[in-house]
Amino acid sequence: MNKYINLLLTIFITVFSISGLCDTKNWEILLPKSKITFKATQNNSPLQGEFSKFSGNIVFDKANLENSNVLITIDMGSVTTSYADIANTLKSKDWFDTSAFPKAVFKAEKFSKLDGDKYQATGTLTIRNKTQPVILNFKFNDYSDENATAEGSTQLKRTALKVGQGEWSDTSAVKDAVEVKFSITAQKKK
Amino acid sequence: MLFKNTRERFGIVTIFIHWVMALLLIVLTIIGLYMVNIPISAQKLKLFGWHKELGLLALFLVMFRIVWRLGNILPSLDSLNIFERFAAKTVHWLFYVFMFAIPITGWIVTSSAGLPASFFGLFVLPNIVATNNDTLELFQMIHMWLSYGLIALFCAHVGAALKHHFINKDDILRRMLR
Repeated sequence: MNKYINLLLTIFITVFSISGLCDTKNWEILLPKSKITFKATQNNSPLQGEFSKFSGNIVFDKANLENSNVLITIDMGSVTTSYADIANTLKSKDWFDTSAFPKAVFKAEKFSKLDGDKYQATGTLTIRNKTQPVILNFKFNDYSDENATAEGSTQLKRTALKVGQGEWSDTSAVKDAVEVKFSITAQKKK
Repeated sequence: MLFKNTRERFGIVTIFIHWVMALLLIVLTIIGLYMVNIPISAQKLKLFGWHKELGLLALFLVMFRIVWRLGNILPSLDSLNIFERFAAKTVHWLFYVFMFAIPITGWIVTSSAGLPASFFGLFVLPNIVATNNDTLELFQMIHMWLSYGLIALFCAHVGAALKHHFINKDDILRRMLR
């Protein structure tokens, strides 16, 4: 009798975990409804910009954080700023060096739930082949079986990623801290 | 020591703000002419930062200055003929027009570029117009031509002061000194 119970339990657990895996949702980013922006500080005043092109794989389920993972690839050449000269400077060798390093990659495999509907992702960001640990806080404005919108932010140190070299590594004109924000709208992959 | 102006001479406040603003506007003009012509660099960015901060300071000072000017009498210009009096008044009031118009158009430039000015790290000036490249280019031109106008006015002003001092040998220049 005990044997049967054990067997039943094993089958039950196996089926449950497989279905759990299958249940982990795969999302497709809707680019026109999503954005990644940043806020740096020059001469003590804010400087804002945006990356208009990025793509990624998002596997995320509130009920299955262990199997959630995110990989976002950002096209660094798609950077825009209110003042075009600044975007052009950011693409240059001392900054993003977009001809040598066209992509930045954000990867996260560890997720945890915070208060309310807030979550935290622990991962890495790679820019200019420099990889730094990153902690991302985000929350959902919408989360259904078909659609989701999440927004969040993180703080980076640009010098740790070697963004802004040579004379720019001095942080008096452009501060070290950069805030990156995102708002991602995705639909469940068919 | 006289704070306020009298019919005979300028008070200390008028003299002080005259020379502080003279120095400030000269520094601003030199930074401005230099910074726009160098390639983008950390130094260029810093110069723009200083130009914005000092420009804002100039705007604050001229706001105080016009209040002071309107609340004070001026030393008499009786030693001048009617043409000289008209020329002096015109140049002085044009200075006020430029001293307001230049920082305000500069503020529009930083606003339309989406690069607001910080005032020595104390606060960040709000943007008064939306970010827009056409506005930016238009007001860059206006700001530049107003500044050229200020330089021309400066030459007329200094030229007149020196003429009074060295040719007419009157006390027009001296009364702004003591």
